[in-house]
Amino acid sequence: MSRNGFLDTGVVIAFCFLLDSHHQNCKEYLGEMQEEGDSLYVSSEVEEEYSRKKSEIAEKLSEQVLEHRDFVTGFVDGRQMGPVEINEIQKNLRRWDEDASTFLIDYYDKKGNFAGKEEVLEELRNLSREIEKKAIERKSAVDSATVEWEKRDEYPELRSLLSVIHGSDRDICIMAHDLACHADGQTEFATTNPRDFVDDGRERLILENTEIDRVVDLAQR
Amino acid sequence: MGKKRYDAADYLSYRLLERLLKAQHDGRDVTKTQFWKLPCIADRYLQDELDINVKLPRYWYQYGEILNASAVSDGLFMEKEDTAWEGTRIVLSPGIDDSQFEIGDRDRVGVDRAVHKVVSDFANEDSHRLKGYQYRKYSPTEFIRVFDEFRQQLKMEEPSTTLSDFGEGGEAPSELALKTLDDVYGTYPKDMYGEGYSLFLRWEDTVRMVLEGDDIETASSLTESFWETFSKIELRLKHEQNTPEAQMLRWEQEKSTVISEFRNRLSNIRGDVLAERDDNGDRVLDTISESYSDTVREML
Repeated sequence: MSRNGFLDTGVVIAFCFLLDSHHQNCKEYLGEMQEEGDSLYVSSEVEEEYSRKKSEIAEKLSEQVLEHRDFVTGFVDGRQMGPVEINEIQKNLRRWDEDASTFLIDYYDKKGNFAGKEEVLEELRNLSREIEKKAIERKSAVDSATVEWEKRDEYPELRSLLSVIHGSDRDICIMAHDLACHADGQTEFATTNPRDFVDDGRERLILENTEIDRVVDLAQR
Repeated sequence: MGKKRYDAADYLSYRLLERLLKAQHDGRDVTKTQFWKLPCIADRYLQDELDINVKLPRYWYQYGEILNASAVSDGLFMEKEDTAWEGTRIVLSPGIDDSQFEIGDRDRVGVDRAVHKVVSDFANEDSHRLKGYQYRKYSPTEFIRVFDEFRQQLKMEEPSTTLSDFGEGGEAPSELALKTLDDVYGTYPKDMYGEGYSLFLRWEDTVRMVLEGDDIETASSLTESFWETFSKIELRLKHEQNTPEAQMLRWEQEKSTVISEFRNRLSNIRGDVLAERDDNGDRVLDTISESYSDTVREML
């Protein structure tokens, strides 16, 4: 029987912006669904949320990397950076205390004790671009793999029954239920947010009161 | 004798326009873009050479230093749209004469002298040459001057068809522009223009990629758009004199909208450029994927 996977907005965001195992779970789930010819759906809110996160995360971090790069341009005199300079730069990053500081410190850790100034400047410029490019490419992959589901009915009673799930989380859950009511086959609701949709009996609450057949916890997969 | 309605700064603008209209060859119009710059040049001569300050309202903007026309008294001159050449000309309002200006004898003599010099030097000059003169002589920061060089370089006709568009070393126009972009980057005074700093870095990196893709037309359009934004958020606020308080406040309030509008445009162009760009893998980001993801997770 065919499956319909409804992706919580958080799944799309994790897929677009994270690079670690969290992302890997989302990627594997999307890959499996596509391989098996199943359909993937997202809410119409995904676009707005993605744009917001792109600006708040990817563009912000990219700009911070460029700002740090500008600092290095003026800070390092010679063509080579030795352990003292690299250490000073890392100290400066700790004092700077911006979001990008942590992974930039990690970047210098991985460079070791010596690095060419031009090489670092070029890598930092590339890093700033990669951060945004990665999100754009992944969003494009999501767009080509998913269909935006438009809710067809209202469910005031269900809204009351799911009252422990708050705000937009409840809206997205009702939208997945709407999909389950109208689409053929089994419907899964995939999330990276077990606290709101799985834990403390919430998964059971959803399965008992909606047409959703399964909640897929991509955070624990 | 008429009632004195106008001050010394008004007298400078009035006298200049009056003399300029007479000095233009063949009765040519005085254009708005030409006129807005000339009182500033006259005022600088007054202050620097004659030690006279008539408190002329002026500020730096996109195309050089201009008269703050909205701070000049109403009714002194009028703007007329000219359909023949699709521009705006400036004419004196009828009924204005010398007796309506409240100005001391020393200042009046000084203004007349400054006006005479400016009209002798610049009547019949087009606004482009005036702008060039201002940028060369009066740029408040080296960055402003170098930035204008960069703008001019991008304004060459596209596509390049003549040998003169190429550098001495045979560099293509985009390569020459990239060299000047390095100078632009190197002269940015971060301490003075702190508010436009991150926007500048983002624009610089984007326009660099656009030029690396040899697209001078997009680079030029994006650069003009950036400079207009920068003029609104930095230049007119940092390099001005005698701006009324209410106007300064309005400029301050406009900043966030101006930045946001430009940011959106920049992000769209940057997104398109990045999507099309063929980079050699994700080497840097991949090496720090764990710490990068931790950072992102905290921001989510």
